[in-house]
Amino acid sequence: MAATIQALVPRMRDICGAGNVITDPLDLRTYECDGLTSHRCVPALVVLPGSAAEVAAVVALCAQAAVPFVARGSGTGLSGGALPHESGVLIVMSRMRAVVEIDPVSRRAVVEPGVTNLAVSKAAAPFGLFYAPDPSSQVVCSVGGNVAENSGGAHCLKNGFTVHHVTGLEIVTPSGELTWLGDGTGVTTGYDLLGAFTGSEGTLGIVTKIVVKLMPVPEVVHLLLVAYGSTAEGGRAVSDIIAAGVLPAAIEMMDALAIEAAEEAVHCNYPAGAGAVLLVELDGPAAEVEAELTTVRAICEAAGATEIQAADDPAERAGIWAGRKSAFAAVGRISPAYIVQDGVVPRTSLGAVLARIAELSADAGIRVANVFHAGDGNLHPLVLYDDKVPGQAEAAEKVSGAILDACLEHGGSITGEHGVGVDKSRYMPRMFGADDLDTMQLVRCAFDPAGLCNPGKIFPTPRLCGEVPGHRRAPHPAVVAGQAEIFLYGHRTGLGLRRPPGSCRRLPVAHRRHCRRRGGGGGPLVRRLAVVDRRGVGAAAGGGRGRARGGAARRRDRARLGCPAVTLRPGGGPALDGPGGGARGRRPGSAGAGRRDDRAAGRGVRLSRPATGARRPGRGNRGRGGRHRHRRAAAVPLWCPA
Amino acid sequence: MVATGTAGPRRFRYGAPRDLLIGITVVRADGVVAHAGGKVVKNVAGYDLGKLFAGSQGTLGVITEAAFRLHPLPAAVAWVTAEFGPAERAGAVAAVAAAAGSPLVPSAVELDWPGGSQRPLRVGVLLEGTGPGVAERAKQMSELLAAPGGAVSVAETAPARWGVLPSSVTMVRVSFWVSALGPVLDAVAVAGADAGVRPAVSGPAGAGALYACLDPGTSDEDAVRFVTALRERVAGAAWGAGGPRGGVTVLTAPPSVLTATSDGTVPGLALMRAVRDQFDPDHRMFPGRFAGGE
Repeated sequence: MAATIQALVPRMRDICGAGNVITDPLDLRTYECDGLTSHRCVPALVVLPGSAAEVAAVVALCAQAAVPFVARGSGTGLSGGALPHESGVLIVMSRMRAVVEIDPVSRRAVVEPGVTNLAVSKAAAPFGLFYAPDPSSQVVCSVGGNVAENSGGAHCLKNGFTVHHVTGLEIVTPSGELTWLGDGTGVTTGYDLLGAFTGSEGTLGIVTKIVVKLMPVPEVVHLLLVAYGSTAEGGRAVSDIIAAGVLPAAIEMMDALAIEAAEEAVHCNYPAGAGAVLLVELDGPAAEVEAELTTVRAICEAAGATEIQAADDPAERAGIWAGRKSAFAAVGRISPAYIVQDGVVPRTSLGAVLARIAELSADAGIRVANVFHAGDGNLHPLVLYDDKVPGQAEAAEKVSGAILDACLEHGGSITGEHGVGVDKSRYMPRMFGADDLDTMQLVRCAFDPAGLCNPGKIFPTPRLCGEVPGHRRAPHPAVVAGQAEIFLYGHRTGLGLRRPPGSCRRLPVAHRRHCRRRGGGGGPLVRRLAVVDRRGVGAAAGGGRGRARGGAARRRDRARLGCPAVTLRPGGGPALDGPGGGARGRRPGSAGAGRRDDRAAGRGVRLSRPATGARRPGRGNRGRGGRHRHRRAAAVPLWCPA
Repeated sequence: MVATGTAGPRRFRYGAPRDLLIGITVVRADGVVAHAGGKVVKNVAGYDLGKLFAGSQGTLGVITEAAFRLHPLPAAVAWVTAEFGPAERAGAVAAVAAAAGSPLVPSAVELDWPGGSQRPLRVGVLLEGTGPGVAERAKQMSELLAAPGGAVSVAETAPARWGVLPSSVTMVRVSFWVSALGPVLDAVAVAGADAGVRPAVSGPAGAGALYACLDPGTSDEDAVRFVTALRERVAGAAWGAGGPRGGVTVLTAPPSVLTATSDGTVPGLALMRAVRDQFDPDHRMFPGRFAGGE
């Protein structure tokens, strides 16, 4: 355990109580991953605070010691959003599980973040109310985690996501202060920070209390199970239902492979031999639902349904839902390993994208099972592979990436409800431009300028907060002077040009492997401005072998560049040096962050592999071709005062 | 509408612009064009900047494109209204709570109380759906509203003043938990009497909001007195065991009233300032429009 963390332990014990601070390496391993087990990282320390005040004290302590921290609810996330930091504190919220208050007249409940999703509905049931967001993991997932991920669920088609059902949040800011966002009513005064916070994947602070809306339990609920020969026919029915002006509570679809898995796991008795089943649930006032039911039945039949089963009593409905809700786990029975994707497409493109997925699957020889929220176009392709067969994992990964590309080509999104986390941060540049990501990170900088709160998530390249605040004034002087070029993993994009869409597709597998070796933390993509050796500047700045340069050499480099340069520190990431500021010349506003371990702090300028001192023995400079040329050069920040 | 976050009666069921906005393009104060969200309803990739810009009053950037989720037009609509005399304020409060909490899925639950405590109150409920469905629900809703003593009528056209606020210079929004509607109406009446003004009160009471509009002839001093008195009374009821439960916001007012009633107690104000400093460090975007009149 690092000395910094070691020093925190007694103080953490004072705050949370000795029994709620975990330091034993075996116990720590319990927390090495969330629901996405392919990313693992043992945290340096785990604390389980019991109150908002304790969370605030823990966070304040971390902020003071510049130690990264990650909040964790029930650990059911599917994107590695709660993946711990190897040299950080994991703050587990599971002891804070009280339903503080229910006001049935106002239809509001106040709950603590560790309360499970279903527990809120159970507590509200005596009043004829329920909590609408219902992710499949609702028996165990926490409301705090739902807020972080803006969770949906099968019924969000009609009822909306977590963000539509949260009206107030008590949070601990990344500097350790307790504050409220939203006034608890759902009416916004000033900026809608409540809305911006919800779905920020734990990167803007830690939730300690949540005010949620409750909804009246619907008068009647009808579930239709409709069998089709193919997903294309089912997809047509979905479009027709919505086009008819009917908004069902949920429309779910499963393809033949997913049905096979579910049948094997829970014997849900779906129609035998169906190429696809559609689950359509209608709820609301009895007078409306009867009419909608007739419309939907007619549409389903017209679209070529081979069989329709209807269920209106809770037990029957639960039986049918069991097949759908168990599908992810059930797939484990027909495949030793699988990747869950979460891409979204406009509903009208469902057929085209499903056909593309089938094509990709056939080409690669990788089976793909489809279980998805058809009503809102949220696909969950389960890419099946055998990790014991060499090359299959890579092939599956490739198919999985190509599926996301197909979603984006049709104007969709890389994630509908699972979040970006560490898993999909590398895909973010496929969906958003550099300016878009930069703008999002302005919010991050406002909440968490030090970059300590759940670092390495969502963004492939963390922003340097506290540089020239929020603004890129001009191209880097070195670029203007023709002394430098912008490189994106070795891809030259020209002077001042931004990352071309899709450039990161060329991300070497080796780099991802490296990230995994390092413990899975950290976004795999680092955009850098590399100073290349045109007039000997690059070699000088980087010392040729990635070694740190002495003060005199550094000053010489700066004089040549006429701008701030970044030099390598022995055994760590690069540090920033301001113009004329010598070794202590940090930029105004960087608040001393430049000296901290950049990787630990989740800052923007870093190397794709550990610098010299941290390099693994025996790996040296071997085997690095042109692609890694930039490693010998120094990285300098992209934002720079003119 | 997005920049001001304005919503009418249907906010009860469909939400405010922030709830229906799924993608946004903005121009930042430094001229950089940025996108967030997309064109699909379900999307959690990256921060939802749309939420931040909805209601930002133009202080964070210029909105140049917005994508929305749409809802199907209903085949049939009906308005169920219930009138309550000035002495039956409690009945109107009960009717709002009953309508808002019913499983009949109303699209709007509005309260209209024009011109002071001596005037009658009207609770209006909008129902949308299929023809026979709406007729049946209107019948059930009528029973719900009649129970606390309302004089109920059902119509296929909107009642007078539906979704329209009276013309006024000073407009104050009160937000609250619905269980506090009674005390909130009392507070408005008392604050009005204290300041010698007769605010016209209306809005989506079922969704926990009401607008109090002061007559255009009201003097600035009276307006300040009204807002101050209202805030004092509502603040007492607006903080429960679990946290905040509402507040009083001056939406429009003459500059002197805005300055005199500037509210430093908005939850998260420090973070809002930090966000604004990031997006517009020189505060060039719409100075004076930031929460608290900065």
